[in-house]
Amino acid sequence: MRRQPFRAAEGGHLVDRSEPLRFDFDGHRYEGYQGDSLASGLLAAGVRIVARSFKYHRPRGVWGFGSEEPNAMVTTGIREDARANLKATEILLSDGLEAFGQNAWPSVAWDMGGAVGLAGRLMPAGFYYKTFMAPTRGWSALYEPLIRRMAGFGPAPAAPDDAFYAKRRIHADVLVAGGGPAGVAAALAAARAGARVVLADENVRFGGALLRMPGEIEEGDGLAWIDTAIAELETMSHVCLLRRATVTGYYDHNLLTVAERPDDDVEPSTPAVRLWFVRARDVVLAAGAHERPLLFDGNDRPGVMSASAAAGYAHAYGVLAGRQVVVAGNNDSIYAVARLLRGAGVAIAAVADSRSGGGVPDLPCRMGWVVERAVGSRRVRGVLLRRADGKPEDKGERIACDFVAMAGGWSPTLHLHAQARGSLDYDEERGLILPGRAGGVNRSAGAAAGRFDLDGCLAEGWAAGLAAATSSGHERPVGPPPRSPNRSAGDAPVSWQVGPGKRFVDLQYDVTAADIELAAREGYQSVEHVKRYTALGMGTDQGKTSSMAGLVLLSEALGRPVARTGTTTFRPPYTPVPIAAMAAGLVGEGRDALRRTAADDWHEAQGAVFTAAGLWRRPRYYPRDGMEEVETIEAEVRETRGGVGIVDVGTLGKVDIQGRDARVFLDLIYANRISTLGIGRGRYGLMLREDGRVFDDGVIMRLGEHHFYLTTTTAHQHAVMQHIEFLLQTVWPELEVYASDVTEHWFAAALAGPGSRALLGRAAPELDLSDAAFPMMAVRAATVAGLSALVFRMSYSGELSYEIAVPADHGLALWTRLLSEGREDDLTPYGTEAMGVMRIEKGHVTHAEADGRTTPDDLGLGRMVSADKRGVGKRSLDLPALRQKGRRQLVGLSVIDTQARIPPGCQVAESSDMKPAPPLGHITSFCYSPTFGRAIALALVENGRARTGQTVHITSPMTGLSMAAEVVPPVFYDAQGTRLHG
Amino acid sequence: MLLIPCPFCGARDETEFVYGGDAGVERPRNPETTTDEAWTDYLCFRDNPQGMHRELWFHRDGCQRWITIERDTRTHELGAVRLSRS
Amino acid sequence: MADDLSDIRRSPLAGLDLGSRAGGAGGVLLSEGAARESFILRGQADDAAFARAVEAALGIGLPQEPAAAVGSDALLIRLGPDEWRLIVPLADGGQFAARLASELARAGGPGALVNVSSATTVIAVAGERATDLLATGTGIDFDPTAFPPGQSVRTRVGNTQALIHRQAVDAFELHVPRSHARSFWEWLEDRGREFHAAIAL
Repeated sequence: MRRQPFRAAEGGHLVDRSEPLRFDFDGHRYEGYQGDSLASGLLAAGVRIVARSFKYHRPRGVWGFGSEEPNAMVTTGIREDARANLKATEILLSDGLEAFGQNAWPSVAWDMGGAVGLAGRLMPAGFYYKTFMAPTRGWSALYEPLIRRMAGFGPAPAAPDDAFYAKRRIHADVLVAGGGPAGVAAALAAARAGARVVLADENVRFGGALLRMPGEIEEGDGLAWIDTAIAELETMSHVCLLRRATVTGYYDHNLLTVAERPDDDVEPSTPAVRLWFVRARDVVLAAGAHERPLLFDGNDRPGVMSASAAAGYAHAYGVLAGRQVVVAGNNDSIYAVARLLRGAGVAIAAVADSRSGGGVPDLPCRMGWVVERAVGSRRVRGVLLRRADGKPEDKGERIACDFVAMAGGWSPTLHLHAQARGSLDYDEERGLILPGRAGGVNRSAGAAAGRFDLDGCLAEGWAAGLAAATSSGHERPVGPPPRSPNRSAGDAPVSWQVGPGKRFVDLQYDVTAADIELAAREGYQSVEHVKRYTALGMGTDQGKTSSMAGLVLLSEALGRPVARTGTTTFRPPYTPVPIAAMAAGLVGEGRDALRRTAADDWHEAQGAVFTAAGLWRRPRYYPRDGMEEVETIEAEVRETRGGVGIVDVGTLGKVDIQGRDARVFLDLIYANRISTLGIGRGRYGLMLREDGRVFDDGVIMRLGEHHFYLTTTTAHQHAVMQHIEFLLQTVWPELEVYASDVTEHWFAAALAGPGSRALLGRAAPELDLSDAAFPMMAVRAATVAGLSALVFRMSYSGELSYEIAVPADHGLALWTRLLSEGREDDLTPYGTEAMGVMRIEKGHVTHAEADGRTTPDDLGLGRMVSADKRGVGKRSLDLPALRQKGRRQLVGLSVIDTQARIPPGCQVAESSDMKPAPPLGHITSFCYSPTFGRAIALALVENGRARTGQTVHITSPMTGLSMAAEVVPPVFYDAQGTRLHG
Repeated sequence: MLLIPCPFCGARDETEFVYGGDAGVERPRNPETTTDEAWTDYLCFRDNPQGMHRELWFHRDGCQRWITIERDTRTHELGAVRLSRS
Repeated sequence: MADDLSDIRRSPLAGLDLGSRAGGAGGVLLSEGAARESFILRGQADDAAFARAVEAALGIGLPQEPAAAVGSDALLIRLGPDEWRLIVPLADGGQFAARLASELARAGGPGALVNVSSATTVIAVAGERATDLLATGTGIDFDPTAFPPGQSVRTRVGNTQALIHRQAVDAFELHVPRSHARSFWEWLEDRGREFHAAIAL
């Protein structure tokens, strides 16, 4: 194990030096402290190369401090536990943590792919578009595998992620995004005013910029003031404080997402990520600002980093990024950074300030000097400084150092403001894009709004919190706002150095200043196009550090003002959110909204093979020992047609209709007349959509004077209810009709087959089942197997059949009692496959035929449409398009070769040659019919009815199969209906 | 995700509702005397305004009422909201 | 003659064998609530004859405010402009409903009364983390000022639609569609891991 050579003797408010931790990086063991991030731990250990870059495989080190980190992407864990593309700056060190650098083999320190870096100039902007062109076959054979091996970040995990992820909804009066001085002031003001507050910050501790650099608030240490404020907020029950929680998205009507990464290793039930959905009345955007890079040759070398981050590692972790530093920048912050580093034990080699004049006596200032180039490849060994206003022939001066802290000024974090469709204003004088008019109900404060002095941040945050509380109706007194003596704005003038060499704008995607200039030369004008052409800002950091530099360089190259170039669209998420967090609670066994009928436990105990019917699961068939699936299904059909079978039809939609106008209404929603039904009788009904297409079908039973019970198809339970309510509430509100979905209340089983009457007769001895007393399409209330039930005489199978409905609580009892009663009849339970075979044999339509395009006439049901009444869809049937010749009509197809079987997805064609030609039609349902000993099908065929008796071909161009079939009427089985009487 | 102020249930997530299209479409009172053209217009043709749109939503997971809301198609800003059956 | 129904009633949660897994304490307790009789009651809120018939039969007036629930033995919840839910103990044996049906008939048959006793399964969620657990799957605001105890709302929770009745600040009964009950229970248990959910009888 290596000790911590770069840990300062003291300091580091985030670490607990009494708690050492061990961790592994690329197979080497290191030591850190409780409270370290992986980045601070690596820096303390002296690890300088933590990653390789995306395109050139250049060695890269830690650049930033938090979520803006473009370089230090790592994978934690191995194989199934691997999580890729995490930022070392955001990983809390834990004992035994294993992490790996990415994008390199065998390790980031020695990477074979780094050789590509030598050929870097061969990979300019648009490299992929220019290089990997014709022949197209090259893509799958050559280019794609090559690109995939070279490109990309960490490996995809080898197994599903079994970590626990969670979601949570929360309502707030005020959400404060960002827990720096402005955010904490806002939260405190809003909470004291009485508002329900959610305060979220991505760091482990509140404080924002004060975590990195000390400041003074209310005549004391700034961080101590923050702690006191947080302690006060923690006592308030209407405040929710979220640490390590990044506000990632701002959506419509003030819905924001917050990705919280609770401290790992607490316990198994702690989620890896908890995704909060916050509906806030008002939002304070106080997410701070990102430090900008300086653009000089080699500004990506390990050791070149953000100045505020370098200060932050010293202040927060007691970690030094090196022994000797050159601090370079264009604003006053470099002096504070240099003094802080000096205090921590770093030697200050030079402070290069690009501004002329001024300077401070206690530091080795070079006023009007800039960095021309960083020297060293695997790590910085020095910089070449030159005068900012010097001539090209000036040689400059080389200064040795082992890290560079660069301060290019600050870019306000505009992401959330912009996601909410807020406008952006370019402040030319300050070189800043600032939030303009707000999109949602929100207000920006502090550095996010361009206020860079501590006193201004506190004042603005306090005012924003107060205003947000007031706007949500909370006005309790809050006391005076906190003040700070730190009032220097430290603004950065606009200055982007121009020089030769590899000046990286986007470190993560290896986009250089030259790439942007090249894109402009090649004619790219729109910032959105340049982004996609060069990949600028497309990495997981989404251009947090690069977008401003890219924008300025593009504007300069195009010779137009920055304000005219504009920015690319800001889209959520602000930082990557694991898809597993979005899917929390929705994936895995039993997590889907499975619907089960009341007899489901019995089906499962029988080992039924299930099929999905929408959300329902239904038995497909009941496997039998020593029998194949097809044999079993054939047996279920044969035994039902020859004896008696039972099927669970609990999934059908059921609607209770009551009210004085029920009959009028039913006539309007069905194509056929319902109002003439007698009490105790039922009728098959066809529902049309307003455009004349068949919408649904079912049976309507009249239970009383103004009381009906109707069934819908399993698929359309909700759609039919919605349709009914639409008509009742918006089209015919004058009708007094109450429709109630009673699907869940009723269980139903159908007894089918010639033996069903005898069986039901024993189960319901009081019920007279004679044709005269209980005819087809009648309904009776009766006691069946000891249970109060409704019995319908109707048939789907084509056999004598009864459907028995009981309240679902009694469903399992009905099912098991009928089965035991039916033992002497050899009662056969059958599944949806056998049911489907029998309905195809009988020519009943399902949604395969009533597919939203077919009219009643197309389905051969034209005569059902009542000519002498109005109704939904009726008028459309007279439209020319629905009456014209050549429409596809429902027919039966009887395959001539008894050995042939129809594959899925078949067409109906005039000839068997399968040459490209418009088909005559298509197969809608098909099966092997055990009753007829051949394959049969239902099909929609052009002028189909007129083709009865002709031979057509069922073709499957995908499999090359084709078979001849005779066109027959769709009702194959018992067209006269004699079997319905047993 | 919109927050729709149901006139009966109060503000609820968009996911509780089903969109039902243009609320300005009126079913012809006498379909059989309506010309093919007018009927087709009723069936198929809808305005697609940039700005305020009066539209129907069904509160499937709440009061199960159809409601009529005004929504700005550019910003999702909502205007008046009422039960469709007034 | 129909059998005595009490012993043949089958809960959709029966297959989960909750009894053998019950016990322990956690931030939230899950249990199957007692079965109820429940009825959809439809009618016009401003129809005096309808309102009188309801009051005569149940001894409680029609609640007028949205989400309002009145009564104790017989709970009457307003779910929509013309929709209420009547929930009564199973032991009542249908007497409330029978009285209500006959009063409505005497009033000339306004509205509609529909038995949906088997349509829902009652699941109780209670404990200091009850609202947190429910908030993993619904957008309803559980702040007691927005959703005070005694009220009921119909909404979406997790993978299903549910009628949530708030009995106390940290005690809820969820009436969920019977066919969804088992997968909803499994969802609750899964989401409840975060709060150390325990099963109670």
